[in-house]
This record gives sequence, C-alpha cells and structure tokens, in this order.
Amino acid sequence: MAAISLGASLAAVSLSVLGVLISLQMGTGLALAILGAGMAVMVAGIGSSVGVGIAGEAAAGVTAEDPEKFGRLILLQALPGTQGFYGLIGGFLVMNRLGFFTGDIPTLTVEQGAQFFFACLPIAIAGIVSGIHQGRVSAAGIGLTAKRPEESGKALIMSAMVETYAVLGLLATLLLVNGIPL
Amino acid sequence: MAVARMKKLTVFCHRSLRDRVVATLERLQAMQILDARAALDGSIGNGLDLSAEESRLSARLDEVAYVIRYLQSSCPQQRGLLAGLLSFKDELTPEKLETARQDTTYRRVYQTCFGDEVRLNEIRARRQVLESRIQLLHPWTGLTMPIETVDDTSCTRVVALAVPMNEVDEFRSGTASFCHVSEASRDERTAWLLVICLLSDVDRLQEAISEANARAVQFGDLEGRPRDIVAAATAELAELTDQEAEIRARAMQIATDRLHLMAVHDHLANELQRVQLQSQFACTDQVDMILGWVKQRSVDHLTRELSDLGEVEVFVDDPGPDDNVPIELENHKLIKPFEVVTNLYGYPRYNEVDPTPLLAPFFFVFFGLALSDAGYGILLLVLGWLAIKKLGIPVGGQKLVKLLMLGGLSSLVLGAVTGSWFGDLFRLLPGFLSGLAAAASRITIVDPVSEPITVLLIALALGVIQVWTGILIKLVINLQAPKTRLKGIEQIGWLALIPGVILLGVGVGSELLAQILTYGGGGAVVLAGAINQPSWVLKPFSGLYNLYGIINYVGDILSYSRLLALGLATAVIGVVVNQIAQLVGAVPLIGAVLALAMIVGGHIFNLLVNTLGSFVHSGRLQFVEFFTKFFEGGGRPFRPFRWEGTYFTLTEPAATTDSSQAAQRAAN
Repeated sequence: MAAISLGASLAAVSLSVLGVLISLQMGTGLALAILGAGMAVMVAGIGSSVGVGIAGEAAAGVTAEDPEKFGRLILLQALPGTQGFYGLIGGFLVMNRLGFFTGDIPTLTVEQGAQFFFACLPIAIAGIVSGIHQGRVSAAGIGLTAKRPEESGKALIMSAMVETYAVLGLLATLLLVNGIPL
Repeated sequence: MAVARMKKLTVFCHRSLRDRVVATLERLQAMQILDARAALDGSIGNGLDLSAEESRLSARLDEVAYVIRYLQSSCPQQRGLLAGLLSFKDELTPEKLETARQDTTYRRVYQTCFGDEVRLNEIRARRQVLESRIQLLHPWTGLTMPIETVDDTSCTRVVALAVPMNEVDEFRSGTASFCHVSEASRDERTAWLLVICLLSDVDRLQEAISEANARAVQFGDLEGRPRDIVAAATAELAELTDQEAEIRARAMQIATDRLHLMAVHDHLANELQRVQLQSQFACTDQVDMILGWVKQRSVDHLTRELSDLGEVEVFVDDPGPDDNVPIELENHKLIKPFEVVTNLYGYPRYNEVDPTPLLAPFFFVFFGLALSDAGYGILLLVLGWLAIKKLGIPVGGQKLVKLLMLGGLSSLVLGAVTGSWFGDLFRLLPGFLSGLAAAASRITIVDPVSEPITVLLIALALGVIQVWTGILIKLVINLQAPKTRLKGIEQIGWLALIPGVILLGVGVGSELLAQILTYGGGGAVVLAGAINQPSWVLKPFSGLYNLYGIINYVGDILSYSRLLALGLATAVIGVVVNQIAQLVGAVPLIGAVLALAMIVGGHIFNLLVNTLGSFVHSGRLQFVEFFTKFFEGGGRPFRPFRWEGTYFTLTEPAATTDSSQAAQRAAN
C-alpha cells in the first residue's frame, strides 16, 4: 500500500508540475519527455529495489540456517529485478525516439512532451507495483526452498508469473512511444 | 552427454566377508546403498545387533568432537584469510589416516580436557566470589576489629553504611545527637561510615538512613580482619591465575596434535558410517544381502573386485519403471562446467533429457553479451587459471571456476566485437599505446552505447531462438512416446506461428511464406486446444483461447532485453571509472598513482558486480524461459558410499584390512 501511494504521489507531483509549466508556456516539451523517460527508469527501479530487497532479507535468513542453499536463493532473489530492466528499456525507447543516440534532437511542443510523459506511465506504475509484489512472492518462494530445496524450480515459476504484468506495461509503453506523432 | 545409466546391484556374500565387502565398497566409491530389508518387504530382517557398536562409536566420536571444540575455544586455529573464507578441507594422506586409526590415546586426552574444562569453570566461579569479596571489603580495610564484630550488641545497634557523598554532611549532623559515627573511608561517590546507636534509637536511625539514600552493608559470614581477608583473597586469586595458565599451557600442548585429532574424528565418523550402513543389509544366518545403485560403467570393475574376495555373488538388474533412480550427469569436458547451472535448478529425472548440453551454448553467449568487455574476459581467464593452479580448489569447486573462464572467453570475443576493452580505456592511453585504440576500433562491429536499439534487437532475436529451441525440444520429447505424439501438434503450431508472426511484423522476405506460417501455425494451435477440450460445444472456444499463449511467449522474448541492459551497465560503469581516473590523474605529483589506483579498483569492482549479475541473469533466463518449455526436474543426486570427512578429504581411497580394525577395537 505504501508503494502504491508513493507511486501515486509521484504521479500527482509530476502532473502538477506539468500543469504549472503548461500555464507558463515555457516550451518545456523536451523537459517533460525527459521527465517521462526518467520516471520510467526511476519508478520501475524503485519497484525492483524494494522487491529484490524483500527477497534478499528472506534469503539471508535461510542462508544463516543452511549456507548450502545460497546458489538457488540468489536466483530467486534476482527475479524481481526484471522491472528495473524493463523501466530502463522504456526509457531507452523514449531516448531513441527523441534522437538522443543520433544527436538529432527535435524541438518538442509541450503537448508532445506530455504525450511522451504519459506514454511512460504504464511501465513505471506496473513496474513499481509488480516489482514489490514479485519480491514478496520470491520471499515466500525462498521459504519454500528452505523446506524443500528440490522444489526451487516451482518457486521460480510462481515468482515469474507476476512479471507478466510488467511485460504488459512495457508493451503498452513501447506501442505508445512508437505511436506518438513527431 | 546425458544422464548416466544406472544398474541395480544385489550383492550376496557370506557373513564372514561382511567387513571386507564393506571396505571394498568404501574404497571403490561406486555404489549407493539402499535399504535391502525394505526391498524384501521386511520378510528378512537384519538380525544384527549393531546398536551397541553404534553407541560406542557415537560416544567416542562425541568425545573427540568435544576435544576439538575445547581446543578451538582455548587456542583458536590460525588460518589464512583466503582459507578461512573458502573453507576447503585439508588432505589426508594414507599414512596419517593409518596413524589416526592406530591411535588409542584419545580417550585419555578427552578425560584430561574434560577435567580441565570443569576446573576452568570452577576457577571462573571462584574468581567471581573472591573479586566481589575484595570489592565489598575494600573500603573497610582500615577497620582493626574483626568484621564479624560489626553486629548488634545487647544494647546498641552497630551498622556499616554506604552513604552518598552529597548526603554525608546532612546525615552526620542529623544523627549527631543520638549516634556515634566514624568514617572508614570515602571515594568520589560514597562515604563508608560505621554507626553506633542505642537500640531505643533504631527507628530514628532508620529514618535518617532512608532520608540520606544510604544503604546498610552486609558482610555475610565473613570472619577476621578486613585487611587479612582481602590479603587472603588476593593471594588465592593469584593462585587461581596460575592454575588457569597451567591449564591453558596444557591445552596449547595438546593443540599441537590438533590435526591428528581431527583425523581421528573423521576416522571414527566413517567407522560409525560403516556400522550404520550395515543396518541396511538383509541378513540370514549365513548370508548377507546388499542392495544398491551402481553406474553402468562401474559394474564390471565392482563385480570383479567383489568376486575376488571369495564367496560373493553379484546380480545386475535394470531399473524398474517405479524406481527413483539417482542421477549423475556425464558430459564432455567443455560442457561439464555448465552442470553448475543445471544443479542450481535441480537434477533431471532418470528418463528425462539432460538439459546441460542444451543450455550450454545459450548460457555461453548470454554471459558474454551481458558482461561484454574484452578486458574483463581476459581477467576472468587469467584469474580462473591462476585459481585452479595455485589455490588448490577441490574438483567440485573447479567446475564453477571453469564456467567463469568459459564466460570470460565469451566476454572476450563479444567485448572485442562491441569495442569494449576495460570500458573505453584505450582512448585514454598515452601516445605510444594509442595504436591499440585504432586496432580495437577496427574489430568493432557494433557499439551498444551509440546503437542500443540494434543490440536490443540482437538480444531479442537470441530470445526468439532460445524459446523456439525450447519448444522444438518439447516436440521431440513428445514424439518419442506414442501416448504424447498427438500433443506434438501444439508444438508444431507454435514453431510455425512464432516465426510467421515475426516475419509478418518485420515485413522481410516472402509475404506468402509468412502468411502460410502464421495461419498454418495458428490453426495448429487452435486445433491442439480443441483436441484437449472434451465438450464439443466448447471446443472452438478452447481452441481460440489457446492462442492466448502468445502473450506468454511475448513476455518470454521481452525478458531477453535484460542482456542489453546488463551489457550497457558494464560498459557505462567502465567508462565512468575511466573518466574519474582521468580527472584524478590531473592532480599534481601523485596524480598518476591515484589514477592507477582508481583504474585498478574501479575495474575490479565493475568486474565483480557485473560477473555476478551476468551469471545470475544468464542462469535465470535458462530456468524461467527455457526450462519451462520442456524440463521437469526433481531427480536426486547419486551419492555413492565413500569415505567422507568433516575436516579432511582423502588423497587416495582408504585401503583397510580387518586386522587393523580388530586391533583398534581391542584397544578401545
């Protein structure tokens, strides 16, 4: 719940900044687009950090009892890291579209900048929420592995199922970013 | 390239040969022992009363373990930093093992150590008593009368008080009229007073005491002048310290034999294991039956060795359909390191395919793509080679090191191709080495920092290939058993649909071919879904619903985008390290040294962090996107009966004769 409210407050702050800037008509389209790309990376990164952190705490506890299991546990801990990567890819897509890699950056209107900003929201929000929940499933899976080490594969699958929604978020961002008319 | 074939062996021997058979099995390390009695449904039991022997050995083992623990706490072993971190077992030569076997003195050592530890505890407790006694009497050493006289007489109350310094004057003035107060001593916080008053004034005194927050000092049963008591206690403390030193010296002396005692421990542990093993034999009056798993390739050798012992018969059977056969993987020596990855997930079942050679090429490429730095690749190769040669890592650990070396090779190749040598280090090198930068850029094909989308597409393409291969493997598995052949339709469908959709989307090549693949594949998937649905009304819906699986495949393929992210992370951190080194190098005088330190430290950090990340994520891709297509797992590993020590591994398998065993038992 704290995470959702964090994500929501971040979105609210950004929207109010947007509103102020629009009214000031300062031509900050590019800034908005960059904010969007940054948010995709940041917010999805928060999700992964929290998720991997939760799983890591569980893994440390299990390793204290049985250090032999460490290899499997590290794998389970790494699973919620996906959302961070997807956020980065989302950011990349925006940067690519804006020509950051070719050095040929167009001038954006405020509306276009806002379009890029909103296009980044799917991966950002889906990333933070699914990352945190995937972390909790991973932590539970680590508990499963502690009791039945040979079933760690099943724990892996359970955790990976949560990732589906981050994928959908990335897909939405990808389609939206590619569809924005420049 | 597979799961090792196993045979079920049944060994019958005359009971007189029991010890020699067990010794041979231990030496050959070839057989995993099963419970023979359970296999016979308990109709023939064991009849061996091993519990006495077992408890004897168990008790002896506990004694030696106690001694080792005691020595560890009184004289901790100094181990090198690396040895402590990696905790390898030392090696035990046959001579040292023989010495351990012949040892008969360890029981006496145990009794000495046990007595010493009890004495140490007594000393500790006594020391506490004496120290608190000294502390109690310390302020009263000025008192010339025996301490037991500080007690009420028939008419007076005599009491010793500890009064806080800030209350002393008030207390004295308050009680001056009805008490005689004399001061024994004082320190910064407390004054120690001897107070005498008439019994009739006890209540007033009590009031004054509580008002001053003073407390009465109790001397218990002590007798004699305080000064004398303190002197006696101090003398006894010194004696106790001497005794402690003596015990400690004795422990250090015993500790010189520590390694030998550890060998005795391991020897006893294995004797115990042998005895416990025998409880799994089925025994009649004359004959013992031993049941177990043996690798097919070891069967002949084992049979010959056992038959050489005398009246031993060995029967060989194939595993039954319900048997939970233990697993050992056999692979070519270049594939063997990748078993580390398979073992992280679990072992295959006996009749499953060994996924190791299947995942090997993918893991190899993914690791290289995720680390993608030629300099780090070289470092991994060199460090791995040094680790194997110099650190004496046991064979089990060598697989991981070799895997990292292979990963380093892949990173070297892919790093060269992406122009990443310790980040962009070659750009910074002084003039005469700048030729390296030119050479490096000549072999660069694509630079991920400037063309990330290209590398992303490459990573996704690799994902498509691996997912497609996984489906193909499942198809092959399904086709092999007649029952599952029909399920192959679904795999064929996906195998056609996925490339078809991609071709349509990308718009490359013949559109007709793409359409055939897409619609044909889609149709096969729908058909497969319909076949599985029993109700005729729902069949078309189930069929169409089956196409929903495309979302899962899209998710799988997108997951491979992490390879780009990981590769970029390595490159970018490398570039940043170099930039910081460049900045730092501008410092006058020591700039060059600082820059060098930054480069070495920064790149080593980058190497460690990104090697871990590359390993974990490359492995994760195998488990979640590849294995889920065809692999079930759940097998258990093959654990043959062998000599296993807590502290040691054997340099050569132990060869024993039962004569030395009998001598050992007689001595104990």
